[in-house]
Amino acid sequence: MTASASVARGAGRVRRFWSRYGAGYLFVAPSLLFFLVFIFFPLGWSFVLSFQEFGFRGSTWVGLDNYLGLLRDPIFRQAALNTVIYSVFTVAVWVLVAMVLATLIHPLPPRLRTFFRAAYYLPAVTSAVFIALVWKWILNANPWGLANHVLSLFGAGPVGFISDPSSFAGANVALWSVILSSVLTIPAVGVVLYSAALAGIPQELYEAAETEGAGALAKFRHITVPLLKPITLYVAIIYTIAAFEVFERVYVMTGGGPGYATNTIVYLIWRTGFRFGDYGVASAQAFLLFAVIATVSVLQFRALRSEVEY
Amino acid sequence: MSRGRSAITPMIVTLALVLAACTTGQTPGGSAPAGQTPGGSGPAASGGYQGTIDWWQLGYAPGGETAAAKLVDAAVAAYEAKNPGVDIVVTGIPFDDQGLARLDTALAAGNGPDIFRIASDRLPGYGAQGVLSPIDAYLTEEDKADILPNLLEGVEYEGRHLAWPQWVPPIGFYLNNAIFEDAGVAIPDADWTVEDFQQLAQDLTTDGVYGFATYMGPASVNELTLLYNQGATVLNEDNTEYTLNSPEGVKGLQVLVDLFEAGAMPPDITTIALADVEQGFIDGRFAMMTGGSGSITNLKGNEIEFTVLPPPIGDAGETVTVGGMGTYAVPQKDDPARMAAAHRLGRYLTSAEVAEDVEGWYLAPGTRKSIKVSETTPEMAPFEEMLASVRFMPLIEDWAEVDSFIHPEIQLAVSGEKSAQEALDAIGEQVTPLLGE
Amino acid sequence: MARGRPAAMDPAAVDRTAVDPTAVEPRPAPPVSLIPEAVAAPTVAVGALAGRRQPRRDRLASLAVLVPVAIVGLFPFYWMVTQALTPGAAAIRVPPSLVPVDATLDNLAGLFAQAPVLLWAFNSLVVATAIMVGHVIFDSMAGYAFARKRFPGKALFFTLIVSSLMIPVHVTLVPRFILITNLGLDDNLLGVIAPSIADVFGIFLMRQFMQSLPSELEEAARVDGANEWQVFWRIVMPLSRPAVATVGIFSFVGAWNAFLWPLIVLSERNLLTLPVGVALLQQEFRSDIGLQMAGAVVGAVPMILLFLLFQRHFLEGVRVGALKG
Repeated sequence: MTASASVARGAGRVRRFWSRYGAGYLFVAPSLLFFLVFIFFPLGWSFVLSFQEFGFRGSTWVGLDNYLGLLRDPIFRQAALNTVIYSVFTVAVWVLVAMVLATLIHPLPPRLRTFFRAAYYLPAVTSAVFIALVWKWILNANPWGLANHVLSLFGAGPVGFISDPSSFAGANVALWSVILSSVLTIPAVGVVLYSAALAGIPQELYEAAETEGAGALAKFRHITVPLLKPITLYVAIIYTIAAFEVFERVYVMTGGGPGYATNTIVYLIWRTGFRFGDYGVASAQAFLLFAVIATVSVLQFRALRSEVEY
Repeated sequence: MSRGRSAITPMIVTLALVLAACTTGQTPGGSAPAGQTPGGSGPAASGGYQGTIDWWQLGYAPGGETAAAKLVDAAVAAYEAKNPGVDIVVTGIPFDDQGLARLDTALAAGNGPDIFRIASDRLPGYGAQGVLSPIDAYLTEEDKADILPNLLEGVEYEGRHLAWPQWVPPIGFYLNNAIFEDAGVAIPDADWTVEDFQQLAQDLTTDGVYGFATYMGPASVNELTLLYNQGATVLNEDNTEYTLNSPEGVKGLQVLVDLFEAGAMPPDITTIALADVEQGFIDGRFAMMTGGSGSITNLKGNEIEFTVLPPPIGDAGETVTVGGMGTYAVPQKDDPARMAAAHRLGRYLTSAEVAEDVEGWYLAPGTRKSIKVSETTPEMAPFEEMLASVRFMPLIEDWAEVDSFIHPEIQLAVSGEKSAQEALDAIGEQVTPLLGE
Repeated sequence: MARGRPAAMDPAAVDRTAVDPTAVEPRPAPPVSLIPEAVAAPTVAVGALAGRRQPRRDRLASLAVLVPVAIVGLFPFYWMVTQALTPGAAAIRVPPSLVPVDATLDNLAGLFAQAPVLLWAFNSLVVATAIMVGHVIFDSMAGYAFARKRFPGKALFFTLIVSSLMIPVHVTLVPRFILITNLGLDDNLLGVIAPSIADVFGIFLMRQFMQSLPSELEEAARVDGANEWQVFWRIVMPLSRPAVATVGIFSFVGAWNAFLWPLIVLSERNLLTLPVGVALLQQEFRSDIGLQMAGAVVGAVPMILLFLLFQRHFLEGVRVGALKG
């Protein structure tokens, strides 16, 4: 057979392939291109950058220097520790609060239920920037600061909530204040997710428990909590990721200070990368955080999953 | 003009200072067009270049949207009228990291502007890359006699002068006259001492009034006045060694620590914003504050009666203050005639002549003896007098990073978390590796 | 950050409401959940199930917890508005007053006079609308292909896209910024829009929903000679309206509230979006709490109104995001 015939046959095959599958590719193409260009390509690039020192006159390879430098850097260590403390407390409180609120909302009459879900969801449609601004004002150290005024009614204070870096209960006052402002924000998504999951718990389980004389607390502990495990796993993971990425609150309320008291990893990445143009170090910071998040997610998954098999 | 941005994306000490001077500065300043100055070395005399000059101006918005932009437009009009055939094209770039990054990229690629305004502490970075055309070849004897020597040094890098020094906003101490009067305390003279200052700060602290406030955040040098006036410097003379943890530095920082402990500074001083210091001063909550000449307009606008003093005298034994410098730099280009024309424009923009052509051109004291900004703005006089006492932050490539290490530790010392010595030593641990490079 | 609310912060975080593929045991999808007439299903189901009335005493006990929590949770909004209405001098009065003292609109007027708030709002609107349109079109297209089309590599592509959920936003910030700068899109609204023009959450949700649609109508349209695009655009999209609404609303709110990326990309004062602009207010040389709070109100109110209008879609969206197939 001649070359041209084989080409023609090849072309025919392509045409057939295309008429069969082309539409699928075309429909997927824009999104796929988007993910390749804006997520996967930058991911690889970022990894490369983390072994370089970036400069206007060209980048130089520095091996593991960026990573080793970070492990020795007290600011990075503090930011990492702050991030972990922040995450542990906010995630624990958010998960617990979301579960309790959803459980309490669930048996209410529909109208009340809708009302509370809406009221609790409201903060979730507001940018953290705006809420953080308010908290900064509430927590300001002056006598007209609302929090300090309340303290003064009890003869306490004034406390420099966001301007005091002194140690307190394993962290520092400023970091606790940022944590406080976070945990006092209702975990809206969690409430909605738990509500949805609660709707799937068979009512008979509760009725059976009641006939055995179980009280509200016992039912919550022995029925609700165990049956909500899968959704708890999910809620815990999305909140852990969110907490590890805390940025707006720190940016608005404290600017990472006083000193380095409220630096967190993403804040540090922003500062390193976009204020000082240290793209290499910022990328290394990002990958270390990536590793931590991945590890924590896997651990959470393991820990909760082992009990999920019911 | 994106003035607030410089506070969020602060890079370097003087950026904020120069910016403060240029944005919160003057009323528009009517564009007084081209009156030829009789005796002024008219640029037309030495020029003859016909063509375009590209001028990049940080924070410039076309069409005279901001006061600073109107001044630029007026200066362009005046210069073009005096130099027929020269066409100046002004491009605004945002005053922040990204704007500066764009400038840096263009300079490195050699397709940047013919002239641009920049804070002096960016100069070493450009100097190291060799992208600037030094002014030395264009600096006349007249210029050398006119420009204050310590200020000319402020643009010197490896033996060459990299840009035309324009103005210097030094840090001064603002005193609220009304609070002094209410307390029955006399306003001290310009030769006041640190002891006087400490005493005043405590005496003036009453219910609802704090004796003193200063900004301790990034990209500023406000609080360093109280270390420099003791004789401390961040780095040694040839910028090879960190020296802020000297006994002088510790003594100066201790002054701040003691004031905070005595309750003479507001409780949130460590996180207070630059703007909040000024606002507190206006509200009558702070009896004294530090600030550059940029605050004058705002204080006058709020009808505050105030006095400006140089920083109190400490162990340095003489008045010492700190500041930054605004300059005009000319990038290296292939066309020598065009470069020369840009240098002539640079001289004009930093001269006494431009001050006569464009009313209110100088928003901070100029660098030449022939420029008397205080003639139009009397409040500027104390700042002018401080010019001879200004110490600049070290001219090193990594200053922005050094700066970012200084303030957090000072905050920690002031809030009592670390001793003054520990805090200053900790800065050294961060800074020293940068010097080794 | 109130990462208590990942759903609403930035487009990338919206992704997080969708399921991490490794996170939860695969569960059968509830395909009916978004079918138009079934939107109200959860309420109906629970209503039926809660046939027995809750004892009055229990309800009061619940309310004794729920009401104070709502008060605490909503207090920042109240305080935001109160302080926005309080004149400067009264804001620093001791003791602080819980109700507005000498209420005035001066702060709002001052805000509009001193900051280009309308421009910021316009920029936010442009960014949020563009991202919403992008999500609606591209997510739906991809969702449609994954739900209905067969082609080699489909499973791989889907896995690839879903796996991007595991990549935290900040890891790609730096190269994305370099990329945007090289494209000349820094300090440009397009630079904010481009890296958010599609997202996993939407693709996932659209795929789920479209899988649940009956395919007869599509077949009928094909028989009538409609081409692939017409089938998608004229038949599938209209049927998918509830899912499209959910994707659209979430994208819009997420883009409106996004902070970190616009902060990095935008620098010219007139080009900022509302959150970045309002955060800038506190850094401006002259600080004024009334002004800042007025800015916060201006930024928050549009989304609150949107939420009140489209409540159902919000709550349903979060729920469906969780119950993946």
